[in-house]
Amino acid sequence: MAGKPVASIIGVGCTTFGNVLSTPEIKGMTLQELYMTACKEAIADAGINAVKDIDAFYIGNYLPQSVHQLSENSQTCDWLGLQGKPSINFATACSTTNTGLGLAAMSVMSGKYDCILVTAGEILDSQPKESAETVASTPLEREPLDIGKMFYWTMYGGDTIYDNYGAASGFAYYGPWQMIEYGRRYKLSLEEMDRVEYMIRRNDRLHASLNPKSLMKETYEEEARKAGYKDPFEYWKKTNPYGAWPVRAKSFLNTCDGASAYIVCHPKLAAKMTDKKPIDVIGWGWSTTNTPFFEDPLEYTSHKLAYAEAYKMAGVQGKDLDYLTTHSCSATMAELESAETGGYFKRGEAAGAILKERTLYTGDKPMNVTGGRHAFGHAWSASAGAELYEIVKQMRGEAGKRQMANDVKLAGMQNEGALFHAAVSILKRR
Amino acid sequence: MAELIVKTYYDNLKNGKLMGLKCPKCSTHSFPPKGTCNKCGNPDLSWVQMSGEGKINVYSVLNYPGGEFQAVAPYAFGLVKMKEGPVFYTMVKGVDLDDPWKGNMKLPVDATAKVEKVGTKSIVVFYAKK
Repeated sequence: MAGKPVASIIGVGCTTFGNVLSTPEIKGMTLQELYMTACKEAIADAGINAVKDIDAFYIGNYLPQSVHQLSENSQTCDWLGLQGKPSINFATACSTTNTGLGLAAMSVMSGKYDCILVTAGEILDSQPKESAETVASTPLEREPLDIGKMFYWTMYGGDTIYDNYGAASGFAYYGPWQMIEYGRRYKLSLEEMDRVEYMIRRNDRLHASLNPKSLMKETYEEEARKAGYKDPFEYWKKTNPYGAWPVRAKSFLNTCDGASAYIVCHPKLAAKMTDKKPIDVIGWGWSTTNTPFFEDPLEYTSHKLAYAEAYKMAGVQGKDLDYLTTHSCSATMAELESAETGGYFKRGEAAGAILKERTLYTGDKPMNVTGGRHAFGHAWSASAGAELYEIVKQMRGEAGKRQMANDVKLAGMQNEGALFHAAVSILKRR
Repeated sequence: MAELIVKTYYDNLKNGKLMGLKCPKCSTHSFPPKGTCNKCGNPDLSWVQMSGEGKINVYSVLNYPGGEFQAVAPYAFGLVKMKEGPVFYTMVKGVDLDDPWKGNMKLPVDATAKVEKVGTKSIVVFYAKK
């Protein structure tokens, strides 16, 4: 049974990732309009009709505090043409739209539904002026949201019993320890690890610059040149202080607003429902851990378990993948730890591959070609859907100038949600 | 009588005691304490005082922590493998803050726990042994 298609993705949609207060493509949008925009694109991409073809929908949002909404399913159903249809609100934080693939697959394989819409969205950079203490005349009145407050709310998904009342971690376990341990284990100096970190984020910026939906449009080289630096690595080192040492501030994720969506149907129906080349889900794995997330910084417990479950179901191994996207909130955690735990690289080989540009979209081991959570942007629950959007476009050969050199027939997608739900999905082009 | 695991932990922490739970069947320790053994599934665990001994395996230096911890930054935050088995992430002291790369290359190092106040919070700090 391993490797059998359990669901088919027939349509994908994604908004521009940006700020609803300022980014032209999404300026002035409410959360409902972000969902709607992503869903309309996915429905049009599949060439289906919402009322006639979609049997149920699953909708995600992680941070209600910044949108002042709950029950997005009932608030959004009629924006999508799905009034009266079955639905659930669901969230596994930043892995939500990866987890949605498995949920949709279970739904269609049970025989209960033939076609499912999955969507998720966030507004993280602003909040409504209306609250229990203040008033506003319409929901369009929003104000910038302090990033400290936004992360405080986000950490409601951490360990609120012990960790959040302990010594504030500064996400030391999420990148810094991986960088130190990688250098220590494979005998790389701090300077060499700094260059690996730089290359990961430089590659992210290059990838994002090719993508019209990304948050960051400028390459790192262009930014350095504007600042008067010929050598972008010098610019990296001199203008970029350590946040949680040895990870620098410009290695961090960048939050934004946005939504993503996709249409999943039973594998037997895919060819009838759409003219597009179906992309099959052949495996997925989930694993949940509370702190401690690992004993060995280079092997998250949840990553190991989720990858193993997904590969077993798919009948493949990490080395078989033509492409892997990892949850790149922190560069060194994602591209060193996760890529090696997932077997995309052998232990100790990821850093060298990154330095040789093998993980670029032009390379033989491409990774995170959207620009990931740093440069494409991070809209918590919607982010995995943005990665899925890109995988589907790449597998169909529809990615234009950012089309990978690799012909991607088999891809892996790994995400994690605070703190931690790891989700891994394996996708295969039919 | 309600089983108040969290209250028991914090009441003891304020008095400088590190209390954990131990599984009578498989001897696995839980620290900070959770209600069920994650190794064998036994729901009936027993309170034990942790030794406070462990090893620091890796640490970062935090320059911009949140909340009350800004007042004591920069400080080291490390992964500690406790003598009884649990892995615990917390503030560590007695490690090299000036050259943390060099300091990390000398790890692991034995360490002992102390309970200290930071702002309103009582936290577990592991001190590297000289």
